[in-house]
Amino acid sequence: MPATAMPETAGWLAKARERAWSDFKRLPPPARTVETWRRVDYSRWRLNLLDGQAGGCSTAVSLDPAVLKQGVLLTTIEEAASRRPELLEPHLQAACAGLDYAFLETANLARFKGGAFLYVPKGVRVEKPIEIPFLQDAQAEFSFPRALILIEEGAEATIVESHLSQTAGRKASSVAFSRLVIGAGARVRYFYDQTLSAETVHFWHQQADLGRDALLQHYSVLLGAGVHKSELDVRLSGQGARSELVGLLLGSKSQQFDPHTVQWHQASKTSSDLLFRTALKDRAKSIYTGLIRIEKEATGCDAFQQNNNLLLSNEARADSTPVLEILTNDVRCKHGATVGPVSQDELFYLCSRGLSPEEAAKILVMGFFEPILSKLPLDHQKERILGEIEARL
Amino acid sequence: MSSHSFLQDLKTDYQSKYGFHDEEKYVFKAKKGLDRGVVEDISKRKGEPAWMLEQRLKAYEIFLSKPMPTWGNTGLLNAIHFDEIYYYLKPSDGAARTWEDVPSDIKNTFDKLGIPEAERKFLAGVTAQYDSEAVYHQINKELEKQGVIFLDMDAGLKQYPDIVKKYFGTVIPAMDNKFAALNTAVWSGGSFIYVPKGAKVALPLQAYFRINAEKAGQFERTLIIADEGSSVHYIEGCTAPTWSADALHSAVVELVALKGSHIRYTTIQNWANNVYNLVTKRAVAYEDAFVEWVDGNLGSKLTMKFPAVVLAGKGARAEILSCAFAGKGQHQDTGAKLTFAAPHTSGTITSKSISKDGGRASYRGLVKTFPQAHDVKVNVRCDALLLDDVSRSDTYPTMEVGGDRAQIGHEASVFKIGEEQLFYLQSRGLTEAEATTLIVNGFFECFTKELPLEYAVELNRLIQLEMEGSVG
Amino acid sequence: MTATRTPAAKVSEVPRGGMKVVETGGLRIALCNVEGRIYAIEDVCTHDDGPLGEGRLDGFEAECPRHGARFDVRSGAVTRMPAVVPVRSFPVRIEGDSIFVEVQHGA
Repeated sequence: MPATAMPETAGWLAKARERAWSDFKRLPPPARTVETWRRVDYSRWRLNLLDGQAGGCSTAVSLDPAVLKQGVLLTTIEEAASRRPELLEPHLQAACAGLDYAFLETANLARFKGGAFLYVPKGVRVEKPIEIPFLQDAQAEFSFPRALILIEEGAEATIVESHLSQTAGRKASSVAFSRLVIGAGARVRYFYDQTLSAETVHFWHQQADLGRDALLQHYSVLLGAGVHKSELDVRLSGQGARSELVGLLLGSKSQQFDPHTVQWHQASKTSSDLLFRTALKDRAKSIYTGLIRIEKEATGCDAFQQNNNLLLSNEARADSTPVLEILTNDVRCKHGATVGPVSQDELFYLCSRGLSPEEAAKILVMGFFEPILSKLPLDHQKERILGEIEARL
Repeated sequence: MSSHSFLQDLKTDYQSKYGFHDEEKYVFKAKKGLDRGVVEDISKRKGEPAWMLEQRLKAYEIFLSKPMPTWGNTGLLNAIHFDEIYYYLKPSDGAARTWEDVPSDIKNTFDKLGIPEAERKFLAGVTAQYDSEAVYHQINKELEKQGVIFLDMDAGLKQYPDIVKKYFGTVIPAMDNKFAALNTAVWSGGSFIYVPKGAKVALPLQAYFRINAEKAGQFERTLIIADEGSSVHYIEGCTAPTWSADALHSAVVELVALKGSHIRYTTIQNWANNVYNLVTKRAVAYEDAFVEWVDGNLGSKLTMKFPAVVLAGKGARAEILSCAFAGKGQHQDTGAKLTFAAPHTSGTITSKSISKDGGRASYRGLVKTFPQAHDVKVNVRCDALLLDDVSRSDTYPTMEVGGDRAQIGHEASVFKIGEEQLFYLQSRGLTEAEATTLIVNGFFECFTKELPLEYAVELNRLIQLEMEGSVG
Repeated sequence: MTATRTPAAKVSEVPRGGMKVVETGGLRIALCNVEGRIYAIEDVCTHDDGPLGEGRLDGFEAECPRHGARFDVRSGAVTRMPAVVPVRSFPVRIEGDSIFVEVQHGA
């Protein structure tokens, strides 16, 4: 186990990390029977082996000079901790993921290396997508990606957070925490994709807070890792806020996915829309759970959720539990879930046009994913993702 | 016409029921709480075979060892005082309850529903005498011709121990959950029905038809076996509010639908608001069998009931229709479970709920398909209507799907009464209350149309009363 | 069928009338001792995917402790609900005091 030296950090951050480390050592992990951990065995992340080493993943972040001129800041969290502590402190001190994830959050805060901090000031519109790639070091057993993104009032930005592995073959545990704060009237397009190696177990948590009239268009592409568990927790806390969430998941071999989404309506006249699509082959398994919760004070809200699952083999398995908790009657709320094979009619049609059943199925799966794939903003990202999908189909 | 005109004569003469010949030697001591002695007592007084006593005792141990559920309305669940409950002989037995004891809101509802006096007293548990013995015997003659057995569970065990032994506890073993264990230990009453091969029972069998000491027991155990190619419709409960001094009602219902048979089981539950109603209901459907659960939940403080069908044979089908009304102080925690273990099977679940005055209606469902169950088709539809902004609706549907060509669809929506709908009806001369009632009736229509006419009529009247209570 | 070369356990380690859970051939297997004869079933209750080995053995039936489902350890067949799908069972080879479980490796 190579011990990577902890980098130099600002005083307050170092203290916060020390506290996080002692919390991590002290806290017992959650019981296996809690709902959150019923389906995936958290011992797969082997955090009991975590010691002095820092997480091994690098983030090569850089910005156009023109963008820098607008006052946008994109740097490592460690650096930002010294330069703009007032921006980071409130977000790094407070735990955001709840008790069931506390053991992961404390480990991440204590041992993350670098991290990424993005700040877009009031009213600034950044046209070009901002990339935050987390590349897992080939040598590291653990990696702790951490991102903090603050988009101020009226600002606009497109962010691409990617998780990749340097090489395949090495058993690795990835524990990522991402925090997104969107100010009033701001508009954000956010892409999260992971194409990690099959030997990686990956955990990803993002809490997104939307202010008044804010808009979040969020896209998740889940392709890699042997075991994937994620939670996207969207809080519509400002009146009139809106979130549009889209997810794509392709499972093959014996991959296991446990994605969870939350659409939490805390304020009135907020709206949310979710489309989560999975395609599973071989012995892959996906367990999608999603919660729409509308509080009593959140009147006049619209909330929709749709989960579609394609089973491409007899041994694949799709579980779906979309949950509604509605505490006010002034709502329009609907959800739906489907599980099924590719359409037999469409398959037959394509085969009658000369395609082999495998080619036909592939085309239908690509069509199934089209709503998400067509939105990918970066060519090289699209290439990588399409490549991964093709390889699996 | 009231459905209660079929109510039969009930004899609660302890001597004839329990067969005591030497009553001076026994002192009836009503005892609170549960221990091995109470379980043994129950079995002894019923004169049961040794194997049933053994099952009861094993179940009692299981009940003790199982923890309370950690899901559901744990706040209400954990308020149950098991030591305060009379599991068998109650002090009121022998000393007749009087009409004066019955809560006035129950009495008023009987009035408004137009239920005749004798029936009212019977439903309120004031009297167990009702003069319809002739009707009961008539119906039984018909059933005898077909070879259909319809008895209360105690009599069923006595007269057909082999059949009971073969099926009792096979669909819902005592270990299934804490309340199934409790029921297996202290069960009393319930229905035992056996329908022979090919017999089609034309008229719905109602719980009131069977001679039973208690019209609605605390720990009823029901077992229905439909042999190959047979069909039967069973109805339990009534739309009139049922007052009970018992705080806890925990029933177990097991249905066995053999090849090509059809069982429809209709329940209307309208317990008064002091009752905990915790029920485990499950059916096994074998090859080409068809099982329907039609489940209406109107009363109780807390109901937890998730009728289930296990499709264990090729071509089996299931339909579950659930309707719940959660008013003030009520939590209707209901739903449906379908498990597909054989190919070419299908099922539909329709759940409709209304919450008002702070009531909470939850839907909990499970659709599970095993890989060996290929070509499965399932459709689930949940609609929840919230009548005001203080009530609550939850939907917790779980799907676990595998297997070739499985096609599963689920849809749920939560909404309030549309302003346009209300406006339209009011412009036609209806008051807001009348309009709301009309809409509510329409919402439940898919359920009420499955009920025998007299039940449907009463249900609509009951809903009207509920709505009148809310507006103005 | 791939016979494992390493013994899963010793016969003497599996209590008579009881079960012992081992990991062999990439699976968790519950070894069951019914009057001296050893049987092997997968340690997964097909009703709720939880472990079976924590339950008890009643004659030839393994009983799941959570909801009472039962399986015949000789064939894996379901003998009681709420399980409806059989559990996988595996041939067992005894050499001296060593138990070898023949686990078939799928695709």
